Amino acid sequence: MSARALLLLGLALLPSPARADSEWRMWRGTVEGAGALRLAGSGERPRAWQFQAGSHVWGYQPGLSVWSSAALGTVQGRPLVVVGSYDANVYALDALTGERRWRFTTGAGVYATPAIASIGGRQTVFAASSDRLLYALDADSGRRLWIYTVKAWRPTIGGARLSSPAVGKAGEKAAVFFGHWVWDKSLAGHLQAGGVTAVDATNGRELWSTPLGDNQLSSPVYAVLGDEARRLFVASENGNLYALDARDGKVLWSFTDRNAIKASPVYFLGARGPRVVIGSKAGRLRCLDALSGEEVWSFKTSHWLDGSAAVGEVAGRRLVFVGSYDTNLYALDAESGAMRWSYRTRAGIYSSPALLSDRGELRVLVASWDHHLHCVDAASGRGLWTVNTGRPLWDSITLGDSIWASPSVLELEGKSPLVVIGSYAGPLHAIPFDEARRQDVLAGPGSNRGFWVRLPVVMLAVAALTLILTRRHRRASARSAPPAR
Amino acid sequence: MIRLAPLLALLLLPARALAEPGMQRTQLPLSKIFDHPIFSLEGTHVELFSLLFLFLLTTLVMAVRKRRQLIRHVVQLVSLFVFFYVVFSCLGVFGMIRNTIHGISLIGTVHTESFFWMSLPVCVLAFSLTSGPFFCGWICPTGTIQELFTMLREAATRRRAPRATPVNLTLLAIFFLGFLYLVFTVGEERRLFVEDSSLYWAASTILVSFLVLTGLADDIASRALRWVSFLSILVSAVFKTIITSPVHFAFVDVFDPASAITTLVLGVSSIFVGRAWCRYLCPWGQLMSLVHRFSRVKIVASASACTSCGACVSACRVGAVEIGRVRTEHCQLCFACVDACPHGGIEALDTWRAPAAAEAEVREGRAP
Repeated sequence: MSARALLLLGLALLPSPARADSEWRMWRGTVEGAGALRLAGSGERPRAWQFQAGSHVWGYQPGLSVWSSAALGTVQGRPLVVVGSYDANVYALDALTGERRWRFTTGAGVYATPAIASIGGRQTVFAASSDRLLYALDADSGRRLWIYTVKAWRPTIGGARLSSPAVGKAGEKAAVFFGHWVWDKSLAGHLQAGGVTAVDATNGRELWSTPLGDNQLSSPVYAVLGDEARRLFVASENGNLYALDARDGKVLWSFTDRNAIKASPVYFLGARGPRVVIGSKAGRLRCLDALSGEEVWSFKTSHWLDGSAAVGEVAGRRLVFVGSYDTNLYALDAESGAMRWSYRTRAGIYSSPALLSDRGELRVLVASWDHHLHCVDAASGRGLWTVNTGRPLWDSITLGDSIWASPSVLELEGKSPLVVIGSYAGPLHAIPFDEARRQDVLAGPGSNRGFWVRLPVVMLAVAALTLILTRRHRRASARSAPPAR
Repeated sequence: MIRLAPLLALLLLPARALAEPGMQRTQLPLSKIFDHPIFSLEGTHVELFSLLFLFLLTTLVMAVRKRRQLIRHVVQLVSLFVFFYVVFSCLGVFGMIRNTIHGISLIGTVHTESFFWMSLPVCVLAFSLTSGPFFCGWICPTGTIQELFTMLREAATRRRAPRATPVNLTLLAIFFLGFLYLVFTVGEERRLFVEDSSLYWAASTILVSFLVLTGLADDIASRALRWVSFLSILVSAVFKTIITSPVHFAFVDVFDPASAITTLVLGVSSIFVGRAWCRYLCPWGQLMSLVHRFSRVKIVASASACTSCGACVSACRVGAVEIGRVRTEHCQLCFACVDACPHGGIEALDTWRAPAAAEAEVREGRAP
C-alpha cells in the first residue's frame, strides 16, 4: 500500500473535525473556516451591545482595518471576545455584556485575528501586531507572558504585517505559527522579507522559520492530516499557496495562481481526500488536493476573492461558501465545485462567511460593501435578514488592500447565537441572532448623494476652464494674426 | 465597413466562445484565456512579455509603407485581443500613472511588485522616446475603441469632419441624459466609490465635446485640459487621496460598471469628435506628448511640397495636422497623414540623427 493510500486510510479513520470546538486556534476558528465557536449554555442570555474603542479617528492607510475579525473563547466559564484594533490595542470583552475585561497595548495596529488556546492549562491569547511582535497574553488578565520579535527594531525599519497566528503542534511541541512580512527601505539596511515562523507556544522560542519571498502572507491554516502529517497551508501575495510541514517548515508543494492571493486558505476532508480551498485576486476559487497541490476543481467569479471560503454541511452534502467582490455569495458543491446557488448583495463582499446553526438550519453570514451584514439560508440561498453596519470612517479608501473584519459567531446551547462584527464605521457590534432577524432592515446601498453633488461641480469647473482656455487662445491668435487691411 | 468586421468579430465571438457556465449575469462577456502564468516569473506574469511583443511587432510593421493603415488596424486588433483576453494588469491611462507612482513607492519594499507596477509604463515611455508615441496610434485599446466608433460614423456618413448640426447636438444631449440615467441605475444597485471617479471624466468628455462641437470652445485650446487631467491623477496617486478605476473595463477581468460606462462614453463621444478622449482629457496622452518632444521619430511636413489639398487634415482623426504643419504634441504616430499625402510631403523623421538640420530641411522642402 502506498504512503498516500495509508494517509488517506488514516484520514478516513480520523474523527470528523467538529465544526467548532472550545478554542479559537486560527484565523476563522477552525480549519473549515466556520468562524463560529460552540459553547455549553450558561444561564445568562447574550444581549446586543456595542463597543467603541475611542472617539479619535486615526489616519487611513492602505491595508489597515479598524477591527480584526473577532476571536472567541472562554475564561473562567464566561465567553470572551478578543479583538485587535487599529488603535494598537488588543481588547478582551465579555461576550454576553460587552464589558471590557482587559486591554493590552502594542506598538502598532493589530489587524490580525488573535488565537485563543489552552497552553499548559492556561487560556492564552496569541496576538500578532504590526509592531513586528507576536504576543502571548494571559486570557484572564491580559498580562504578557512572552513576546517573539520577528525583526529587531532599528531606526530605518519600515513596517510589518503579521498574519493571524495558528496554534498547533510542531513535532511534539505546542507551537504557534504565523506569517510575517517586514520591510526596511533604507539603502544600508535594505530588507524585504516574508515568511512563516513557528514558535514554542509555552515560551516563545523560535522552532523554525521559513522564508517565503518578499510579499505579504495570509493567515496560515494548521491541519492534521494524520499522526505524522501535520500541515500548514499559507498563501502569499506573490500568487502562491504553500503547503509546509508543520514539524520543520519545509515547503512540500506550492501552487501558483494567476494573480495575487490576499485570502487565507481553508481545509476540509472531502470524500476523495483532504482538500484546500483558496481564492485569489484573479477571481477564481480553487480546490486543491492537500497532499499533492493538484487542482481538483475551480470556480470562476467575476471579481476578487479576498475573503476566505467556509465549508459547511447541508442535507448531508458539503458546500463551500465564498463571497466575491462581484457582489455574490456563492455556494458550491465541495466535491465538484458545481454552483448550488448564489445570493446577490448590493456591493462587493469583502468578508469571509461565518456559519451558524439556527434551530438546526445552517445559516451563512457575510458582510458586504453595501454596509450590511447579510444572513442567508445555506440550503436555498434565500436572504433572511440584513443589518446595517455603517459607513467607513474615511471617505477615500482603497478597495482590496485591507482585510476588513469578518463576522464571528458564538453559539450558546439553548440560546440565540451571538454575532460579533467589527464595523469599519467604528464600533464593534454584538447582535443576538434573533434580534437581528427582527430588525430585518435593508436600507439603501448607502447614499450616492456626494457623487451627484460633485458631478455638476466638476462639470461646471471643466466648462469654465474650457471657456477660459478658449478665450485666451483666441486672444493670442488675434494678436499674432496679421492686421486686416 | 468590411474593415470593421474583424474588429466587431473580435469583440463578440471570443466572448461567446469563452463564456463559462458558472458566470453570473454580472459577469461581463470577457474571460481571460490564461488563468495560469505562462512564465513562472513571480509577479510579472505575462503582461510585460505581451506588451514587449506588441511593441516589437509594431516597430517592425510600422516601416511597411504599403497598406500601412490596414496593417495598423490589424495591430490594433491584436492589441485589443491581448488586452481583453490575455493580460490582467491595468494598462489604463489612469492606471499607468498611478501604477508608476505605486511602483516607485514600493522600491525597497517588495521588489517583484515594484518591478511589476513600473515595468509597463516605463516600457511604454522608453519605446515612445526611441520610436515615437505609436502606443497611442497603434496599441492603446482605449484609442482603438474610440477609433472604431469614429470609423463607424465615417462609414455611415461618408464624412470625416464632425459638424455641429442640430441633430448632432440633440443626439449628444440625449446621450448625456442616457449616461446620467445609466449612472443612476448603477447607483441604485451599488454605492459609487471613489474608485468610480472615471465617471467624472466620462461626463467631462461629453461636455467638452459638446462645447467644441457648438463652437463655444476651441479644439486646440481645450487640449490643455489634458494637463489638468494628468496633474489631478498624479496628485491623487502621490497622496493616495482619490483612487480611480481603470478607464477601460476589460483589463482586469472584474465587474466594474463605472469603467464599462466610461468606455462606452468615450466610444460614443468619438462619434461626434474623433478620439475626443485622446484630444481633451487623456492624462497619459499628455505625458506622451511631453515625451514626444524628445522622441527620435517625428512626423514632419514639408512646406514646399504641400499643395494645400487638405488630404492630411481630413486623414488625421486627432486633429493634429494643419495644412503644411504637424502638431507634434498631438500626433499619435498613426501615419495616416503620411499615407494620405498624395505628394509624399509628410515624412517620419529620425530627429536624433541630425535633429535640427534634418527637421529644417524637411520643413523647407530641401529633403530628398
